[in-house]
Amino acid sequence: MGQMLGSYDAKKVGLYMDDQPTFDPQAGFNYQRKPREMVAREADLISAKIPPKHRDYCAHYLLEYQSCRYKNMPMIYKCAHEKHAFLTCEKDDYELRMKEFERERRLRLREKRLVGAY
Amino acid sequence: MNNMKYSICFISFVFLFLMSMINFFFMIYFIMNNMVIMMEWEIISFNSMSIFMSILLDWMSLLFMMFVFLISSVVIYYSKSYMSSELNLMRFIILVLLFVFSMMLLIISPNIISILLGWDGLGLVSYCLVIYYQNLKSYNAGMLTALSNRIGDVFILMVIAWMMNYGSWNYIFYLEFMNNDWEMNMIGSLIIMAAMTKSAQIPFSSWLPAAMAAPTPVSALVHSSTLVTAGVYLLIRFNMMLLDLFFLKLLLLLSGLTMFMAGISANYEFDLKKIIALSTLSQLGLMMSILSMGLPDLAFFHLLTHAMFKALLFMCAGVIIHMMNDMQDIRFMGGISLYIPMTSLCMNISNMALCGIPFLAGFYSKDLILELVSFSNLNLSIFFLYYFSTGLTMFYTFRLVMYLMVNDYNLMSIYNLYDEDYVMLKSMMVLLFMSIISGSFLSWLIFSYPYMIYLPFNLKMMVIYVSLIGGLLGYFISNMGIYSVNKFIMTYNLSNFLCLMWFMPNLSTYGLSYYFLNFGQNLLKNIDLGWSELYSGFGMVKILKKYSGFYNIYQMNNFKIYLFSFIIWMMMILFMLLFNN
Repeated sequence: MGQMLGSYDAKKVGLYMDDQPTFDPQAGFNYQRKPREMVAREADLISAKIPPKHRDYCAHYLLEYQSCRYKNMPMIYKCAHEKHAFLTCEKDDYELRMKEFERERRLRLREKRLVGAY
Repeated sequence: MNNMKYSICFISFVFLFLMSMINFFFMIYFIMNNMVIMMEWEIISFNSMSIFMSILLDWMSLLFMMFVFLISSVVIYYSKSYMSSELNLMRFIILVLLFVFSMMLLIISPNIISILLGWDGLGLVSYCLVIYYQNLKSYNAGMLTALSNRIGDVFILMVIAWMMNYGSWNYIFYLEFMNNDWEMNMIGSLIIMAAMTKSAQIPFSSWLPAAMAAPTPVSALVHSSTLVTAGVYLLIRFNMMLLDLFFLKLLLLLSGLTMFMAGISANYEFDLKKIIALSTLSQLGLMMSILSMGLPDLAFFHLLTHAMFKALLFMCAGVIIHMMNDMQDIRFMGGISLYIPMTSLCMNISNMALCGIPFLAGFYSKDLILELVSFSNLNLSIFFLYYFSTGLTMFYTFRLVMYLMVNDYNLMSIYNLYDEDYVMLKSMMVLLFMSIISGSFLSWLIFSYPYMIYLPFNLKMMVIYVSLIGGLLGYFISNMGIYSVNKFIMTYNLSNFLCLMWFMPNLSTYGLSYYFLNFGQNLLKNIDLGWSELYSGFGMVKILKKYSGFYNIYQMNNFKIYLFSFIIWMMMILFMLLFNN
């Protein structure tokens, strides 16, 4: 719902939620942007049986959480810190993606303005 | 005889409780090691098709079994007191145990044939339990329940027929590999429809409130926490296959409407058990709808927490019904917290858990579901259905609490007020404990991969806003005086529509059978008793009788007749001769 309202305006420039960034990632920045880094190793993820859909950029925190769960089962509330670290990472990642979406929207608007279509 | 009663209840209780504990420890072990065990016995093999008896043990089936065993054990313990005046207690307990056995078959099986065994067993035992008090109302309710569930059985049979193409009925192997197969999509649609009948979604909703004719312990076990969740459980198992189906989107709408309809109907209802049944229907709609959004683990989580507090709510209702001299109408109740404080405590806590008051069982599941609904990319109407229904839950719960506990006592059966029954209370305490801690415990335990939710402040607080509004409205509605009756007459048709579950009981009873029965009656009148009687039965006899009488006269060789016919012939010949000239 929030996403729908937030992305409603973007449809004017043909931008939908699942679209990928199309502009140069460095355009308009004075400093060098660093791409996100996959910390967790594939072998570790496979050995921990993490499903593919959870193998994202925060998977190293997820691995820590999983190992903590294994050690403390069934008193999993002891893993609150690991869980929090994972969720914070996910939240930062989400924020980053939202900012990238907004950047894409503004850049598309700018492009249209420059060619005089808008 | 008393010792006998004690022993059957106690032995069943101990057995089921121990089974529950064993399942609990296995479940922890399975979650910890991410384990799944599958066992198969080949029963028969012919023409490259094999029928297996399969058992699938994973954390989900073990956890569900643990909850079913726990609830059934306390329900049996509770029945010792609740059904104490029952002559055939043994029969009752055996029926409940049969029900638990059918449920187990359904839970552990990854094979559609053994699922059918459990599924049919549930329908049959549930019918026997609904008609347990043998009167006309129970018979009708039982027939409605059994026939509605029968539709689901037919869908499962059709799934078995379709799955014969694959040579095996172990559906679990085909869920991912055959995902794009047209036949598998067909099977998915049939499974969804079967689940809709068992979980009483629109248009099969009418049987659930009718099934309240069963004894209250049965309602606590069967029609709130276990049987009706069988459909949800089946869809959870099938979920990975269903996600691309159009039918699942339709299910999202239907289940959303179910929870909305049940929430509204509960506000018009005055029967204590029916209010709780409609609340169950509303929660089932919630489970189904979150399931159709592709979040089966959340549906499973809500299924478990809901099972706990709803079983407790029914058990409290049973105590109240006993105390009120078997009266179920909430208009005759009031102020019961003064007479049965401990039961009222249990009732209030389970009600609060149902509403999702923070840190009780329902909060963890319901709040998570609603936040994920807010977080996901959904249609606005579905979003409103979710939030309206949440408000309505608070609405009818507040209304019920006001009628039962806050408003004045109506002096209907004051001679029957008695102290708390400690056998019933002890069993309720187990569920009370679980209603408080199970939400938090399960949310830690079963979500190996936690959900990240990131919402604006007002959207995050939306649940609290709608709950507060719902609670306030419930308070005002319960205090409405008689003067408002006139206003209700103005909206009589609308009230009728809303309180009769959008006419669904009429549709699935008279609506289905009226025209067929009428047609049959017309056939009987016009064909059997009419034309076919005229031409074959009565009419033929009449004609034969008439002509045989006529011939009989001829055959009597009466001289007068010969003479008379001779004269007629002569006259005819004379006329012919005369007129020829």
